[in-house]
Parts: sequence; C-alpha cells; structure tokens
Amino acid sequence: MRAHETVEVDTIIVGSGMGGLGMGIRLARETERSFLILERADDLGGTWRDNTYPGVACDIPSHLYSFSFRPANDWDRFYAGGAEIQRYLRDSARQEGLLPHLRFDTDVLQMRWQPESARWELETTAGRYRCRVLIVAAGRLSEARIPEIPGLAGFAGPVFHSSAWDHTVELAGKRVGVVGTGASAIQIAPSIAGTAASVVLFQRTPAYVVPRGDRAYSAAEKLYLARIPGAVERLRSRLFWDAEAGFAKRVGVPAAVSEFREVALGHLASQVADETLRGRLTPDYEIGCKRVALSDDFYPAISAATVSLEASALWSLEGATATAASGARYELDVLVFATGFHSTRPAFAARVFGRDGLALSERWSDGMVAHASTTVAGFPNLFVIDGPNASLGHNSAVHMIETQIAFILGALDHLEIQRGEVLEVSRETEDAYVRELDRRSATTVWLTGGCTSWYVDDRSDRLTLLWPDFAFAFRDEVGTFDPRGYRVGSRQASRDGIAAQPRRRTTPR
Amino acid sequence: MSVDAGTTTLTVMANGAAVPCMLAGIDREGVDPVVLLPGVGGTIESDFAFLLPLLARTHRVLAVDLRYGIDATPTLGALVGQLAEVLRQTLPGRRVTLVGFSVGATVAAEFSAANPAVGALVLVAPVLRASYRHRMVARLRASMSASDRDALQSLDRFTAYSPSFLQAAVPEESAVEGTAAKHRLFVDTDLTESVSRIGVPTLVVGCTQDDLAGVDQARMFFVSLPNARYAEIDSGHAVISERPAEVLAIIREFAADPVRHRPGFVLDRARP
Repeated sequence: MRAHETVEVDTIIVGSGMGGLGMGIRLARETERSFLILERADDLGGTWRDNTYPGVACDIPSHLYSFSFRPANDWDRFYAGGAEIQRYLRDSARQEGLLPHLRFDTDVLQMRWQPESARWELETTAGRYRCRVLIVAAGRLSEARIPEIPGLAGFAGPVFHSSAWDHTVELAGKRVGVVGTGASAIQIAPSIAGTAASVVLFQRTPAYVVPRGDRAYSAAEKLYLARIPGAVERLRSRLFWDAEAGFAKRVGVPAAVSEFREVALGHLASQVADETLRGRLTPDYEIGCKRVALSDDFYPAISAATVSLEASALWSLEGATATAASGARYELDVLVFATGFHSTRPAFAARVFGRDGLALSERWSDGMVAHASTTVAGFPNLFVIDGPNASLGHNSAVHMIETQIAFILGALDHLEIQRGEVLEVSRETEDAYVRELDRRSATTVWLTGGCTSWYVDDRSDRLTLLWPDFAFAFRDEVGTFDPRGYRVGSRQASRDGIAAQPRRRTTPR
Repeated sequence: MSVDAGTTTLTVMANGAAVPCMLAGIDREGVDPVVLLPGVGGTIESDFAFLLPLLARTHRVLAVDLRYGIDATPTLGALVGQLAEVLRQTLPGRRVTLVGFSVGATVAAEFSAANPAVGALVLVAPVLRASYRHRMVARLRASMSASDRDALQSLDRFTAYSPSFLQAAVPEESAVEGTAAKHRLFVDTDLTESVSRIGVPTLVVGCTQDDLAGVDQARMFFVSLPNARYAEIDSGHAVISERPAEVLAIIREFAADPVRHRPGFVLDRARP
C-alpha cells in the first residue's frame, strides 16, 4: 500500500484488546460490514499483551473473564494467568477469522470527523484510513502512568513500568525497588522476592488485601465442563451472580462492608505477625474505595527478610540511591514502576476531533462523559468501548464490554433501518444520563470512602471510570440500543467508495 | 453515608398481632413501593439483609414479618387481613408491588386476588397446590421437632438449598420462631380457586433445583395466571441465600416496568 492512498472501509475499530476483538468477532459473525482493527503494537491482546510481569494474573475467575459467546472449558486455574488469557485471545482472533482484519504497527495519530462526507478520516503511522463508523476500544489500562521523580533520568540501572516488563533484565542478586502497592505490585512482589537479592516496596497508600483462594482445575473438573451439557454456562452464571452480590460492599450496606473489612483485616492479622509492619499495612480509608487486591502470597512475601516495605512514596533518585518521602535511603540496581495507568484521562481523546474540530479531550476536560457510556454528543458515528462509566470494581470487565458491543450493534442496525448515515446523540440526552449516574455514584464507597483512586477524575471529583451500579443494571439499561435522544441524519455528499453495503445477517441474542 | 440511613424498624399492631416491619428507601413520585414477604424458614432480617437495602436504592421498600402464630394453625384469611392492616397503616392509599417468597408467595397471591392495592405481583418459589410430597416433609418436620432438633436443622437445610450449593458451602444455622406454623400453612396451600382472580401483572420465579416447593409448582402457577411472566433461576428453594443478586436483578427489572413483557412471556435465562 502506498502511503498516500486512503483505505476506506465501513467500520474501523481502534485497539485489539478484549474490547476490539469482541467487537470484531460479533461484526464478522453477524454482519457483512467491511471492517478493520487498527493496533499500534505488533500483536493483539491489549492489557494481556502488555502486562507480562512476573505473577501477572486476572482477579476475575477465568470462566467469567472470557467471551460468553466463546466459552472455554479448559482453563488451568480458577484465576487465569496473563499468558493463558493472551493465548485465549489469540486463539479467538484466529479461529473467528479476524486476522485478515487486523492491522498491526498502526498507531492512530488523528481521528477527524468530516461533516461533508459524513466519514471519519484517520491518520496513522501506516497511512490514511476513512470509515463511516469509528469504534474506539483503546483500553483504560493502556497508558502507563509514571510519576515525575527528580533524578529519574540519571538512575544508574534499568527502569521500567510493570506493563512494559523488561525480561532481559536479570533480577537474580539485584536490589530491586518497586514503586506502588496496587494490584500489579501485589502480584509482582511475591514473584520476584525469591529471586532478587532484596526488594523495596514504596507504598504511598496501603491496599486492602483479601484471600485469593486460587486453585488449579483438576483434569476431572475440566472434563466435567467439557462433557456435561450446559456446565460451563452454569458455572459462569454462578460466578457472575456471586460477584454481583459483592456490589453490596461498594454501596455502604453496613453489614456487607464491615464483613468485607473484617475479612481483609483478618487476612492481614493472620499473615503478618509483626505489629509494626501490620500497622503500616493497615489502610485508613474504607474498604472498596481503592481497588481491593486478592492475594495469598503478598503479605508472606513482605514479611520475608529480603523484602522491606517503605511506607512512603519514592521521592528522589541520585545515581543508585533512592530516597523515600520519609527520608529513608535505599541503594537500588533496578527500578520498577507499578504505578498504574492514566485511566481517567485516556490519551486517545486528544486524537479524536468531532464536529467543529473539537477535540474529545477538550470535551472531556472536566472528565469523561458519554451517553449510555458509549456515545458522545458532537462526535457522530463514534462509539467508545471501555470509556466513561463502563468499568466495574466488583465484577467482570468482559460483561461490560459485551454489553457495549450489543449496544453498538443495535445502534448500527437502527442506522441501517432508518436508512441514515449519521447517528448522533443529543447533548440533553447525554447530560441527563450523566446526571443520573452522578446521583447513583454519590452513595458509593468510591466517593464516600475517603481515598483517592484511579476511578475518580481529580479535575472534577466525579466518578468517571466506574459504572456506579450492578453489572446487571448496565446490561438492562445499555445492553439494548434505545434510539430516544439520537438524531439520525443523511449524508449530503454522494455515496462513494464504501467497500461493502452494510447489512446484518442475524439478530444478536 | 450508608444507603440504609433511612431504614426504620417498626412494629405494627394489626388485628391483635404485633407485626415487625422494616421500611427503607426514598419514596419517589410515580414509583410504587415494593412490599416484601419472607419465606417459610426466614424472617425479614434473615431473608432480606441483602435485598432490602439494595432494592431501597431504587424503591421505597417495606418488609413485613407476618405473624403466623406459634402453636395455633394460622388461616390464610387471617394473614391476608394482617397484611391489609399493615399496609393501611404504613403505606395508606398506595398501590404497591407485592413480592412474596415461598410461603410469603402464598399470602401474596391470595392477597392480590382480593385487594386492589396490588399493582404488580412477584411470586418467588411459590406453591400453587400443595401435594402429598409437601405434606410428607411437614410430617417429617413435626416428628423431628419434638425429638431431634439437629435432625430438623439438617432436614431444613437439605430441603432449602440446592445440591450444587451444599456441595460448595455449609450454610449458617438458623432457628426461626414460628417455622412450624409457616410450614403448616405452606403445605395446606391451595390457590387453584384464587388464580383466576389475580389479574395484575405478575412475575413468577421458579428455582430449577427447588426440592421444597418444586419447580413444577412455579411453572404451573405461571401458566394458571392470565397475566404472568416467568423467570427461572438455577438454585434451590433458598434462592434468596443462593442467588440474592439474581433475585434482585429480576425484581428490579420487573418493578421498573411490570408490563414490559407480554403475558405468557418467559424471560431468557440470564446469560452473563
């Protein structure tokens, strides 16, 4: 392909993680739309491609953390490791015939709505694209957040983020600093404690940690799931509804919250004998406010002689010397940032330009908003998967992604039935949706729990990342496209060059 | 701030009985309050610790522990009278969505057959007409209650929970006052005459592993009602313990719009 040629398709999906692949699979199975999936990296998998750190695993049961329309019955463990999920995604893409739709090493630099042609124009590192429908599934844990530490540039040894683990760095015999004690660090620390000469964990705020209870599935259990009709679906359903019950712990049902807190503090007490260390690991905010970690080996690991917990932030670096906010100094050979992601300010938003050339990042300068958590006023024919208020603190992200996919398929159907070219939500409809979510958010632990977290936008103190209700409510309210509040328009310019006439073959679900 | 900041516990004197109730949630304009009646082995505390505060996020909710009596055999008519009096005092003049679990469904159905205050009805794990099988369990309970409390507990759990649930968990012990009287009413249930008088939009919820009521009872109830929809949950009779969130989901969706689905509609088994 020559660089100046513009590739034109009906639909472009940006991102090939769980969201982009799921969308692609449903499009391929159920429609005749021409579509491409653009991926900036050289492989698919999103989070599970990027995060290969020692101990990487999912916190949602494996049978639930997979597509409902592609159930797998042979998961090795109750909680799948990152590599197993990545393998599942690769297999899914290949077996569903998505590979011809994927364009790797294609970083989308700019996505611009063209009102005259009613098309999105995309500028990428691998040429130009034009499409009618743009689906951004660029992820919420895809832009590494690295704090500004004085002296970082001059640090003597290797430095990397947990989501870009440098496997060429040999940790044996090294003094390793790990910055952060969130979900990633809690998996990393026990996994490297036995290898490194020493590990220092820089902890700004302790996390609540509850028992993980991970286990391998036996050969008999896998066979049961494979051979007994409906067994995988039943297990998945049980796992889902068990997780749903956990939402009571996030909305201040006192009995549920205190029971949850006692489980976490009991876990700490049973695993950490040293009273001083226990004190430094005890959170001072309400459980659930920040992401709750699941681990049976984190506390034992930091009780080990080779691991030290620095209960303050990393303050500065000079050569190989790391100084903590407390003034404590550590000599380090390797530095790992397990400091999370820019989740409430997605980088892609600065690259999307809607009506009147307005950047989505401008539109979202007070925090992300979207009607039905998916469509934004002023940005026609744009759908965002895993964007505003579409994540969960208590259940599977895949449920949310699949809900959004169903919504998008419904919206595309609607556009087709109306013989329209342009679908756009009104600002009033979007505002009403956002007001309602703010109302529901007000009583959740994420806003009342007395912590800062990556769920809340610090510019407006709004809960912009999480859906503030049960996951089933998201499916009820967003799982079916509701055309009220949307405007369907036609294209003024002539219809030219659309690769395939979009038409649905089957109706979903 | 906790969601149940507005939860109040009250005792309502109704036809000579002191009826414990709990009231929670904000009363929103145009939204009917939801009234909850617990099951054969439960109280409002044991059955609705999850459902009450979470349903109260979207509805005004009243849970009612009707007095079935300890020794005397209660009559369905007396319980219907109790409920009418409780509603008259706590939610005067209001149309309600009435939700009955197990034996609570027996009362809820009979109440709805005669009382226009019910705008919509939910029957969870109900019995339409008790059979020899139900009376067998009642006789077993009666003989054990005098001689062997441990055996009675085992029988109650055996019949309440699904095999799948008991395979994975040991439920907490519970000793609920008045269980025998509730069981007597439960196994005398015969609503075959009443169903034709229940015209309100109804949702019947059956439990596929229900060894106490039997899932067929729920299915029969559904097809006997002129204006009912039907949902099924993969659970034993004690669905409120086994699948609390799924029960909440089904009730919340139905209460939001009872006629969203046409009469005779069978809801898709939830496939998350």
